[in-house]
Order: sequence, then structure tokens, then C-alpha cells
Amino acid sequence: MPVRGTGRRYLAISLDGGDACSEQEVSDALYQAVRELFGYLGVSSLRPRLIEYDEETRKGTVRCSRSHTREMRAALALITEISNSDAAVRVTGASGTIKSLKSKAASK
Amino acid sequence: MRRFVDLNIRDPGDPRVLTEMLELASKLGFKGIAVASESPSPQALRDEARIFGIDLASRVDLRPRNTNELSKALRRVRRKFEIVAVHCDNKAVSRQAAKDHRVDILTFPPLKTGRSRVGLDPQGASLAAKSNCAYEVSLSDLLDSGAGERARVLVNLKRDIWNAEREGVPVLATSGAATPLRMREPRAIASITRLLDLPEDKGLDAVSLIPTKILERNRAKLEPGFVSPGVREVRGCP
Repeated sequence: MPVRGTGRRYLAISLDGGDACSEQEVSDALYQAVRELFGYLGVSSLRPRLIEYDEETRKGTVRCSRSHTREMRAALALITEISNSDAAVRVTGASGTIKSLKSKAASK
Repeated sequence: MRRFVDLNIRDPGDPRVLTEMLELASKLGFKGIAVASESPSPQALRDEARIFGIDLASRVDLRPRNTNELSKALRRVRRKFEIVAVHCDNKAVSRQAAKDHRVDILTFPPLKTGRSRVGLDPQGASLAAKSNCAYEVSLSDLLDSGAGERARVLVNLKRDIWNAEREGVPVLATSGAATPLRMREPRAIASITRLLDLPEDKGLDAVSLIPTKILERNRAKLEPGFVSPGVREVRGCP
């Protein structure tokens, strides 16, 4: 019998301030923010993952569990530095699929 | 569609940075901003904000040491600023501020020293509910605290919010940003209330409905002819 997977939510993010960061550094900052705020149990519930990140435009996509989108937004809001330089992560859009997230971003 | 308002942007002191912050606020989706400053926002700045689609309001933060200072300061600033916030550093001030109808926002900053923090206790919350004072949660309190300190700040805020909710005190969420890097989008500020056990709709109200109501109420009070809530003098009638 097919089992429906847990819902996911995709958040479009944009980075502000600080030096140029690599995808790995942004990903690490993301995990650290969730871990600091909610602990390892939180990481397992939120299942945060940086799907893509463009170092030039400083925009990316984060995936998380749909039922924990607010927690994910809170963790992103509390990021104040990435690899020792001041930075801010702002969510510019949210959607249930990457496709609709991109089409929303394109229409803006 | 919600109209998001941030009632606490601190004046960075540099007009260029402030303009940058107004532009960013507009991009982030805010429709209203209150700049906390010692002097009311000049008309030129309000006009500049309007270009970005921002309704600018002026806010003053009072830090009285005792109730006498609070009363004097309120007499001095109430008619000049649209928003009056009081930093409650001791219990006497917090009680007096909660009782006073001229106070719009009660804010309880986290203490850096080892002293015990004054918070919104049930008695204070009851007084604040009667005088329609709002309780402020500022994102900057969390951003400025270190990892260990953040847990303590969250515990204190949770306790205050629990008291506020029980007594029906409106809860307001603000950024408290003094630089563009500390500014966040409205839903991010609202999501902080999730950490404080507020339901989602109340969290969103804290950055939209509650601040809009405070602003509208105070602007009505500052209009000429205002006598008391619901009563205004109408001139030119036969």
C-alpha cells in the first residue's frame, strides 16, 4: 500500500551583508541555527536542507518539513552571522514545490 | 491581505542609513514603520517614506527611573509623538506605566547584569489590559543575546506572554532594528512568537492588526477636536 510522504515546504532565501559565502558555509549556518534553537531533536523534525544556493545572486532555496515552517522561519531570522561575518537571511517566498516557488519569484 | 507594521525601528543617526532602512522595509513588505527617536520625525522624512509606500510614525522610548520621572516625561512627550513606549526597569515604574492611559507600549528589556529582571506579572498585566497598553516582544532582544543568554530571554518572554494572554493584554512584535542587517521580513518577526507559544494568527496579528490599531487610535487622539475616546468636538455645526 503506498504511503504518502511527509509534506515539505520550500523557502526562497536571500542573503544580505557579510562577505561572499560558499554554499557549504550557508548550509552549515542553517544547520547550526536550527540546532542552537531546537536541538538535535528539532533538526530531525524540521529536516532543514539547503537545496540550492547561487553565490553570485546570493539567493537560494531551503527545504523543511511543512508542519514546521514557522520554526524554520524563526531559525533563519535568528541567523546574525555566517562564517564570522555579519549577515542576515531573509525569506522572500514560500511554496509547496520548487517549480511554483520559481514561477512566483519570476513573476515578482 | 494583512498590512504589516513595524513599530520599533531605532534611529541609526545617519539619514542615509535611515533612508536605506525605509527602502528595505518597503521591499520586505511593511506598510508602516515607527522610528524611535528623541525628536518627532520631520515632515520631509515622512514624505520620503511615502515615496517607498511607507507610512512613517514617530515613537519615543522613555526610560524613567521612578514614577515621578515617568509622569513628567509623559506630560512632555504625549502630544508630540504618535507612539509612547516605556522601558520598565523596576516594578514601581512598570505598575505606573501599566496604569497610565498615555502609555501605548510596555517593554521589558533583558538585563545584562545579574539583577533579577522585572517582567509582566499577573497584576501588571491586569492593569495593562484595563488601560489598553500593549506588551512588546522585540526581535533585537533575541538577536543581541548570546546562545546561552537566549534561553533565559526566551523563558522570561514566555512567562510574560503567558500572563499577557491570560489577562487579555495585546501582544506586539517588533524588530527593534538599528541597522539594515537587523531588519527582518514581517513573517519572520511573527514566527518568533511561535517560540513563545503564541498561535499563528495571533503571531501575525502582533505585526499587523495590533500595531495598526495602536497607530490609528493615537492619530485620532492627536487630531484637533479630540476630547476622549468616542467623543470629539465638531466645529461649524449650526
